[in-house]
Amino acid sequence: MPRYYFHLYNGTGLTSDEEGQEFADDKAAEQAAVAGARSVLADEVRNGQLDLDGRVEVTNGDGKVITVVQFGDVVRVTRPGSGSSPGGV
Amino acid sequence: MGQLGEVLERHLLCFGEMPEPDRQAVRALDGEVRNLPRLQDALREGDRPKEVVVVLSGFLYRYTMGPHGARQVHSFYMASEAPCLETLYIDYMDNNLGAAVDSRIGLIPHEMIYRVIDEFPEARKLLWRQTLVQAAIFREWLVRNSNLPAHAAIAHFFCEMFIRARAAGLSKGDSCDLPLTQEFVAEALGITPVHFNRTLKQLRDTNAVEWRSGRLIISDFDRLAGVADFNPRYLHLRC
Repeated sequence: MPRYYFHLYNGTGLTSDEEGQEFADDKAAEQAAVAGARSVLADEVRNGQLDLDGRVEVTNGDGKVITVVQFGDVVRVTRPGSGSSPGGV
Repeated sequence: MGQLGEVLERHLLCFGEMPEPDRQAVRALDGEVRNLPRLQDALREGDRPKEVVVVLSGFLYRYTMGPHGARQVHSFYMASEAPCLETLYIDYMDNNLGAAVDSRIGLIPHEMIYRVIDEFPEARKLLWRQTLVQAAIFREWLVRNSNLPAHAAIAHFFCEMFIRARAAGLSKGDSCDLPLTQEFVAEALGITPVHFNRTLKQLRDTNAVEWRSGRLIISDFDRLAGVADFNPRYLHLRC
């Protein structure tokens, strides 16, 4: 199985992935990048903050960028007063 | 006198003392030695083991496969440790035991250990004690995974691995081997590898710990233990 590397860019700077992980194909690697981005954001929310200005760059063994997952694209944010909340009980 | 028996004797002495006749009886235990390549399983769910496993070199891990193919790692075992003494009295494996890196294991027949248990009460106590300590470790891991934020959970894991390595005589100064991949450790902590890597970078910035090329270096144990709120009491070590 090919190896993919997940480099994280966010408010704390670049965290490069030196180890990588094996996945069946590009699609599975992209799913892992989405899950990874979400888990980083979830931990931020737990600490009372959320920085959507970040991304995960997925590269293959040759260093070629396979996909870039933007933090802002992995969560759907509903703002107060936008009318989509289900309302009172 | 068997090599496997000597390893098990040393391991049990981490949890308490036993008189010379009991020690001799444990030392005399022996069995088959087997190479276990990385990612190969020694025991699988449903197996009915007739031997207990002693780790001679490398690193083993126990895991359960989730319903959607997600692997949950729930323990690691370094050289000299005995991962599944409970198989002596449990009929079948309800989880899997595999090699996280190329490893060598010893297999001591249950029948030989039953004789020690029947005839040597202090050895029996330590065998029981070891399995109880395993349960204590599982409890601690549960609390760690569900209560600690990622950076504290990783710090906790590092502290435990270092203390266990030191008890096994495998540490050197402030460092020990930890030849696992980040992916493995992330699975044990219940976080994603991406999150693990980012959080490890944060921990490195504290200058208390470094983990690189399979070597764990804890230059400021007290500070790392403080981050993790780590207290080694649950390991019940007496060595």
